[in-house]
Amino acid sequence: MTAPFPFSAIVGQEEMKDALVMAAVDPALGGVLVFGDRGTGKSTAVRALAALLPKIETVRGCRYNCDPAAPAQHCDDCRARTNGKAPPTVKVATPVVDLPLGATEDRVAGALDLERALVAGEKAFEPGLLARAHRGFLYVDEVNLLEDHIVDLLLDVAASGVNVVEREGLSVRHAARFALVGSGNPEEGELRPQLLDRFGLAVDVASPHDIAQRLEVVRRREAYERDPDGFAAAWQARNARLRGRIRRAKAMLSEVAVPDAVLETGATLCLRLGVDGLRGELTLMRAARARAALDGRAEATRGDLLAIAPMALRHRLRRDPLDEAGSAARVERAVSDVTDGVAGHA
Amino acid sequence: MPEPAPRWADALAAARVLAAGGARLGGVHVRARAGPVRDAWLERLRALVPAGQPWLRVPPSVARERLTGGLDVAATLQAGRPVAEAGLLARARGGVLVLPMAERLAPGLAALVAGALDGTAGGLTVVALDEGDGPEEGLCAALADRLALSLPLDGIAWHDTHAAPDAPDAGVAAAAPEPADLDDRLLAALATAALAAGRPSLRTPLWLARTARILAGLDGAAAVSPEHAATALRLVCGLAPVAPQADAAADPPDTAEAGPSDAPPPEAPDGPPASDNEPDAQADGAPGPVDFDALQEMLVAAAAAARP
Repeated sequence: MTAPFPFSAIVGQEEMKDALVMAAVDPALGGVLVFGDRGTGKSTAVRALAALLPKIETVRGCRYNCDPAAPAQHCDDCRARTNGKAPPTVKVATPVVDLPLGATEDRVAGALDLERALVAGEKAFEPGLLARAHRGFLYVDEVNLLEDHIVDLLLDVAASGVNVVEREGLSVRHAARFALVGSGNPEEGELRPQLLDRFGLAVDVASPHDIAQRLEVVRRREAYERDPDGFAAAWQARNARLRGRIRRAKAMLSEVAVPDAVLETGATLCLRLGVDGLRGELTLMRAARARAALDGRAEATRGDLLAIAPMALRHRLRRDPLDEAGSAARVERAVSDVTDGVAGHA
Repeated sequence: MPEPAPRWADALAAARVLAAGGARLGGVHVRARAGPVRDAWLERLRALVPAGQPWLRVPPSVARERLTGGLDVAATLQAGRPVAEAGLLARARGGVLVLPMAERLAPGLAALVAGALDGTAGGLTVVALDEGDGPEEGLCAALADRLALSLPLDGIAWHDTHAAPDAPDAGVAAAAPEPADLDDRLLAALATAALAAGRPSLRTPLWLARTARILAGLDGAAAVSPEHAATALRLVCGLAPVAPQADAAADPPDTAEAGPSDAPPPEAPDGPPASDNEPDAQADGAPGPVDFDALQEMLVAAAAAARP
């Protein structure tokens, strides 16, 4: 297996990299939506993320990535095998599973194990992509072209954290909690608001027009293609430092405080922008906390909140027919209003 | 033997490049209606591709399972144990996959092929025959972005295709040990020109670098010359060759994108080695030091002028 392109070697695209790292620190953030042109490194970044993430501990041989520390959520297989005793564990890479365009529902949710049925005449469940993505990431490229029934399936599972499969002769349920990472070109199709809302963070990526940056991309890519393992080794130290930061941030995440004043700023921002529901504020809080944790600080500041506000809110704005500006501009305007103290309590 | 007409010459160059290094280029996006010119080009390509390599033709109506492979149900039932069937993508590994009527290929299937291009060890060369009419109808963007070369064959006269058959030199480049040297400034010029041609994808500069190197390798040159670079630009961006008297197009355009950071020092002392290499529009034959600034302006102007 050739080493994947190292995450730290990706040129530019800081907002996208930050969002992915924060999503890794706090899966409850709800994943990242990456919108942008073709050929901007979106898939490369997500695949590189897989190599960057720390390993997770799972039950040995489990096809559903069961967490040995949470026996209440174990799948039926694990429950049957362990019978109350501590199961054998093994460390595996955090799963980052591709959901290809045109994937069938069978492939995604799981279905009858055709081989066993044909060969041994046994009825068994073949876990799908959702099972493999449990406790990890599910990457959907061209998310805006995804078929409606698959979108429905993803929405349902993302909301409940459980995949329920009810079909001919099969009735299975298993835990399926994952962060959804989607990428796409907004010009090629609109995303349903329900799916849009499901993503915690949304970032826009654009192809850099700076020639020096474009050349650096080519140089690094060519160096990687000439010698993937050597290139990966050269960036190994930086990747390791980032991995260490993520691990430390995850460990201290629950102890990071978000002071009331910061929460108030978040609420003011959301009210000013007309963000529906409370998910905007929850995301602001979680992302601010993740940012502070990545920095090694025990308390999130207003600065943290305002820094992550665009990626947390740009996809949640109610459409304003009177406002010509794009969503990013609106968020930035609201942020500067709040910073200057113009916006008061609503 | 008369020189082949410029556009057919480019088409032949594309075929040689693909035969020599197609697996690292993804493939080619051919835009042409079905007809004798397209057939002639395909025949040339097939003749250049090494004999043992797979050559598979996949219609747009192909079933998903045929592409990806999977269980061969009939054989499994017969044998009583699982019998897998290799998908077409796996069988085409190391060879060529031809997609006729590629514009009709459903996005889901195109994404599968694109995924195979991203991942296949041993390489895969896709020849997408796009018969689409106009900008609304065309090859799926996800796949098109992964095909290095863009070859519009419409407008080439049938009698042009009767030019001399190629020498079987494709094997030379395939065996070339080291990729040819590509000067950074030449790459910068190419990248700027590609942007001017309306190609913002980050893959484009990569394709340009690789194609230019392969072209240099086919010529046996140790370094990429401006001529190789110009040909690479045409093959990757699908531009028509510029007629020699194109001095009007050499007016310095707005190269705001280039920026001061990458402007090379005006005296570029190290010209490429002995091989006779002149930029397209220069008429004199004296091989002098390469003026990268002027070359960049010219490439950008040509690219911008050819932009639809």
